Amino acid sequence: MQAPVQPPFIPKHLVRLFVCGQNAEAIAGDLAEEFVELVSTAGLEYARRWYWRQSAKTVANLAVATFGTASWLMSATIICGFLLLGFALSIPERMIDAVLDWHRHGVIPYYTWPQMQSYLFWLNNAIMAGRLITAMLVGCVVALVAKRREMVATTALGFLWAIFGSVDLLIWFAKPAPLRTPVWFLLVTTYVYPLALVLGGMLVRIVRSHTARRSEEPTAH
Amino acid sequence: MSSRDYLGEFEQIVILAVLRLNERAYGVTVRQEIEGRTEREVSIGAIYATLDRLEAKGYVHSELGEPTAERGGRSKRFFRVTGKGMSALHRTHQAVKNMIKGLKLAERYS
Repeated sequence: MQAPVQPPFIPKHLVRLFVCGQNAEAIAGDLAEEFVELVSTAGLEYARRWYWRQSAKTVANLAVATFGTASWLMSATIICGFLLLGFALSIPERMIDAVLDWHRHGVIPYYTWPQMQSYLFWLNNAIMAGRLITAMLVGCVVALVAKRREMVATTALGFLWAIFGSVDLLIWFAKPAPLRTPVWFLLVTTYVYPLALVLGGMLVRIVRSHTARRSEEPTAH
Repeated sequence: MSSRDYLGEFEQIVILAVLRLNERAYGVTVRQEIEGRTEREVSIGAIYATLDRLEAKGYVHSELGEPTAERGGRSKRFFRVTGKGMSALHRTHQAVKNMIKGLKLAERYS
């Protein structure tokens, strides 16, 4: 027996992540029903393209509607999230500095140039990893506050951060050479932290929907 | 009477589609009805965003149907227009009719 044709994986899960409440089941069902209908009338390729287009539009429409229905909550959450992220990103650096200072008893040792390079490499990477984890945690906090709008809130915050970061990047290009921060650092700050934020929102959303599904299941006696 | 008592353009289209479909009005049929009659591509998200707004205003009412296999075991959400929704639709059409009265639109656009 042939297995039923499944809609594309990514848009199917995007809809599942972004749409919640009583619409979640109805919209997923509607898209699945029309997809099956289109596969038999217009072919699999057309149906897949249609599913991608419909899912993207659906997510965008519902995200805009979410802002319309809870504009104050969303704006406050995003602004507070932005400030929190700005503050929290400095914590890993300060923590690592404090630990290193404690470890060497406040004395700066003598480093040869290769030792210095190696030290800076590990220091920068540890700070970067710490910041990525911090951004993800901030994403979790924002998602928890935004209640059933986790993905919309964290994605909007990610976009806001990326816009500000892009301005920083433009300034980077305009600055004279000696003041330049490494470009890879700015690229990570601008475009990878927002992804970590969204990942945090995604984690909270997944945990919440699993908890909700479990509580809806009838208990076995 | 506040301006909120009138329906927007897309809200009117959605309510009319629900009225046309009668007992069969759910996401897929409403979307197909609108696409078929207005020849514009509409997303399922736009339909639900509008229906949610109309339901919050008390213009439509929804209830979940039985889950079906072709929908992967998911339920349909059926919609029907309430009395309040009918009044809002009538009021909006009346307002448009009043605004058009006396204007010779056919001559202007011919």
